[in-house]
Amino acid sequence: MAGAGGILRPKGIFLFLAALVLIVGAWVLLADTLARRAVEGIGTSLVGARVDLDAADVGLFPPSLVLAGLAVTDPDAPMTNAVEVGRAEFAIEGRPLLAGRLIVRAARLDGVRLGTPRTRSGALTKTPKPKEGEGGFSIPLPELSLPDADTILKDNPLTSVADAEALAKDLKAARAAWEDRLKGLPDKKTVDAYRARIQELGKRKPKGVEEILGAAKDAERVRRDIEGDLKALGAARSDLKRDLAAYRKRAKEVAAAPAAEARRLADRYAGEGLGGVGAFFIKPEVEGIVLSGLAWYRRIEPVVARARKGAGAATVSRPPRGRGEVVRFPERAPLPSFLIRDAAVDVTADGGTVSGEVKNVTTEPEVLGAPLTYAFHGTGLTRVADVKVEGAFDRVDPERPKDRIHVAFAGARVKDRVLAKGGPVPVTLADAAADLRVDGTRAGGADGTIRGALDLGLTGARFEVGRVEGAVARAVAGALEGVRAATVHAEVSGPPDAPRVQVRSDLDRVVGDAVKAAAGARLTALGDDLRAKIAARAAGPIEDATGAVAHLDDSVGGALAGHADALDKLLKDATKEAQKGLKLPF
Amino acid sequence: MLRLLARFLKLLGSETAPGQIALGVALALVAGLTPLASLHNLIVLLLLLVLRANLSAFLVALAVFSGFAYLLDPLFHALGLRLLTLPALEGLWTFLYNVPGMRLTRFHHTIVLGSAVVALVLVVPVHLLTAAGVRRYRDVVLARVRALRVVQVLKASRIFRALQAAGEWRDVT
Repeated sequence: MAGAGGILRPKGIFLFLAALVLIVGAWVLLADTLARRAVEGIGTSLVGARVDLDAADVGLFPPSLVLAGLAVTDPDAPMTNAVEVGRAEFAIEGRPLLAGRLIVRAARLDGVRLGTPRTRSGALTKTPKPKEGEGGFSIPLPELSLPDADTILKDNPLTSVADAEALAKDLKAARAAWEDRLKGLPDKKTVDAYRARIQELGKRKPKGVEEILGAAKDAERVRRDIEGDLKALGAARSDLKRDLAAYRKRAKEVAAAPAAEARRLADRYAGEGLGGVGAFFIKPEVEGIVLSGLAWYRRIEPVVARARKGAGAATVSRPPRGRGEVVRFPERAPLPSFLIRDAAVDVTADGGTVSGEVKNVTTEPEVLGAPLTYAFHGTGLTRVADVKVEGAFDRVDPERPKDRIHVAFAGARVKDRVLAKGGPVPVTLADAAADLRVDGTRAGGADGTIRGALDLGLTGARFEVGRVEGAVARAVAGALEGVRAATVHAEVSGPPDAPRVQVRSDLDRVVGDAVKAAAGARLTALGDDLRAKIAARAAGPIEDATGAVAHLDDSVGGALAGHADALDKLLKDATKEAQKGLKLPF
Repeated sequence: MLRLLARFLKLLGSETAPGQIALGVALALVAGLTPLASLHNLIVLLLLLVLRANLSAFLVALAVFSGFAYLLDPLFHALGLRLLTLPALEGLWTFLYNVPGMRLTRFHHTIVLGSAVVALVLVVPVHLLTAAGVRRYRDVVLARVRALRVVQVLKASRIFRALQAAGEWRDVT
């Protein structure tokens, strides 16, 4: 060490230590604030609405994080918290921190509540509040939408006419084919030739055994030739008979088709216009459940599906902020940048607690090699007897998501649920016990479609209907007020951002029957009108088709029969000649 | 900034050893060219305080090199990326990547690595050139300036003496 004028400054080590203490002290003092701001900032950017946190407490030995008063705004309802967490504790693994990995060994979330009100808006930008319609939504009634016969016929190409035209065309082709075939079959010339050969045999006067045997042999040859031709004619007649039977059957069907088609169209339009009315009342509710669930799915998906490329080789990724790029190299024991291995969650809801656990929460499931899974179960809630929610976000292969969800609510009480606020039939489900089961999956590529089924069962139901006017509306009201139980089945399919929801319900039958009865006279008139108009359009083609069948029978069938009869007669003559030649002189 | 520059010019003309000034500048080169919040800058801080490096020279040079770094970032990024993706070095980087704690140095960040490599290559030449430059400045430039008639007149004036006294008084306080 040099002296006072040397290169070393011994006091400097104390200065450095003091500086280190200052840095660490500042970090310890500011860590809680930094953690709180980080949670709020990252959460807000992920959710798209304000995420507020009352306090954060960062522990060093052992590493831990405690969050208190976390409130996540519902982006679709800025005055409501989608989720509120009273207290969240995270036990963090220390060693992965040295590798820049945040691995939470265990987490515990207490006092989780859903849909709590906010004192101030959590919207990031001011958006105009959607206007709620004065009269609310309403259900259109079929009596306003039953079309007339001309409209139906304009929108629907008539299959009965097309079928008759197709039959006539087929018959024309069949007749041409048969005429070609007739050219290869025995005809009048053949008959004449046989006749000449038989007459020639009759003129012979054989002498001696050899000539007699020769004449008999010639007669036998003629007989065999005729038999061969008769066989060919017989086969052709058999084929023609089969063809004619098939064409006659088709002609019969074509003749009956207009009436059937009129009935089918009338029923279909009655079904569209009058049936399915029951599902109309439930469909908005079911669609609301499905779309709300999918909205959360789409919100969570980017968080769990923020995949990077495989860790098998060095990869370059641009960090979210700052310049430059981070190059990642293969790791001996790969770990995701962020992982919560196991989180126990208690959701306070509806006068009780729904408990569950979420496993493998990470932004890089392909590195972890295991999907995010969740399972919740609650019993004895005020409005639901039993609730189960379980499923998985499986993004282990980022190109092939295999997400699934199963939700089951048993004995849920529904009270004063407005199904249709205004319109011709204002309906409220005043009281019911509901069992709900939802199963959904997503499979295929990164843009894979979802498939789901929703089954809702209502028992002890009581529908209340407001003031109604008109026969159909009164029929619907009466039918609904008589319903005590109902089932609803919905199928969901398509891309998550634009799913197709198809809803069926046995309310369709109950309400539809009542409506059909009320609108019966109109339906009968529509059916009659359709039948008359279709019959008029189909008459020409049907006549052509039936005429063509008769013509085929007359022309081809007649020719075949005539030639066969003539050959049959000649066969008898030839047989006689043959027998004559074989008569022995002793 | 002007005050800092004035102090630096005063420093150049002072009795401070050129080696101390050069050491301050060399350490500032490392801290200035590389991202300031990097872990290796703790070592720079340790060296700055333990070695007799001149703090004023360090601060002035840090400002200058940080400005350069802003302009040179694309170059550092390209160099860092080239080094980190060089097949011959992949084994080394992979080894370091798997050493606990090494990732906290952010050596796998293109700008950190590129700027650190440039700083390490330049640190010795910059130290030597700065020390030589200070000596040259004092021997040639400063001697000539002091020999100028205008400077001698100014230094002899009452105003200069008053300002000098005020400056010394301020330094004491």
